[in-house]
Amino acid sequence: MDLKALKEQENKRRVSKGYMWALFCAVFWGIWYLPGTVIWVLNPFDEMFGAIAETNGDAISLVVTAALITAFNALTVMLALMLWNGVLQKFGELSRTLKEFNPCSKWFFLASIFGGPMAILGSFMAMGFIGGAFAAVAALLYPVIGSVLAYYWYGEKITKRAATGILVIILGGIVIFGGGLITELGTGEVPWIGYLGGLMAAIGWGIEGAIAGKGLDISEPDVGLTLRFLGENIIWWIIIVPILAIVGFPIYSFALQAFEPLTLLVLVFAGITFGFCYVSWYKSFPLIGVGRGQGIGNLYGFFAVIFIFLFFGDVPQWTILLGGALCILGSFVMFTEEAAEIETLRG
Amino acid sequence: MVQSEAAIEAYNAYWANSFIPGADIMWMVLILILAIIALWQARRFVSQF
Repeated sequence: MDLKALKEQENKRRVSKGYMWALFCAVFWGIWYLPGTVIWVLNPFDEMFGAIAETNGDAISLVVTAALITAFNALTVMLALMLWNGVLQKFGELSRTLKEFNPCSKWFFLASIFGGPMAILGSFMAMGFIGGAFAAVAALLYPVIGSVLAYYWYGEKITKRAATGILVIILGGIVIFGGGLITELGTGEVPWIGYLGGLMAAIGWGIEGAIAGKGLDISEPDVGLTLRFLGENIIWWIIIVPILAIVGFPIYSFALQAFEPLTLLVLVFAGITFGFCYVSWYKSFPLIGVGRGQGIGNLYGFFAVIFIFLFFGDVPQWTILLGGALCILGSFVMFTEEAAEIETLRG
Repeated sequence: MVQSEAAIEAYNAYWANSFIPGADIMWMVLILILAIIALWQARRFVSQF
């Protein structure tokens, strides 16, 4: 076999592994909506929501409760990533990357700001105000933000096929948001804060992907993602949770009550699904690019609707199904691109 | 804090209409199976690339 054929074979292997990791991301992200939804009815979060709502209203109560749930989610993700890095024997690499702040870890800490307080909190807000199926598909617009940023920032190639896929995803997003809004405008109840949460998720994850793509030029995805969650834990537990306590919310007292078997069990499974989803997402970026990785990762909306349907028995509205189908179609337009087209990811 | 009766009722209600028998346990089993497959693939990936 000559050198050219070997190179082509290696490229095909790289691309197929990239799509495999993006698909893993989609499956884990979709199933995360099961623990991510049921955690709201468990104590202390259920009583916390009620207690804060009595004095500060439903909207503020929801955001504060979502902040504590997200903080715990970040903590259990960190545990799952320790397991992941342990199995892959990456602790040495983790400490090496952590020490190289300027070239490497600064990107992951920056990514944690957009991915954590913005995207994940936004997703919880969408879930709390509107519902799990809506939250799952609301953020589907994020590959548009991610790939446009990656293109303008560091020249990641966007082929016509990838752009077509992105366009179909935008159409799907419009159907999802528009359909839901028309239905709820008809009833006179529009939970704007839920839609704002969906928008925060789309913008936050898009920006995070582009920033991570930059950091992954010079570091490993497994350790890069762990540092990103180290950053998110710092943001929640050292900055946001203490601020919420200082302004008068009883957040520490409810946080201590979370150490209850069923609550911890659900949080651990949320951590495993979210941690493994995120690490698969980061692993796909250097192999197929941020735009494609996020595009295929977008199938999470489809998997979430399937898992919610199978385990909760919830039949989603037709607008969510139609919008989700368009987003999946857009993802497959990207998926069927020839491997030779993306031999080099940068233009 | 132990779970209140209302919280347990609301938690169980989520799985009550499921199409899968023993859904309140099976979702965790499914996650564990997927996690093991992902770890196995990650080990293979490390050895191949």
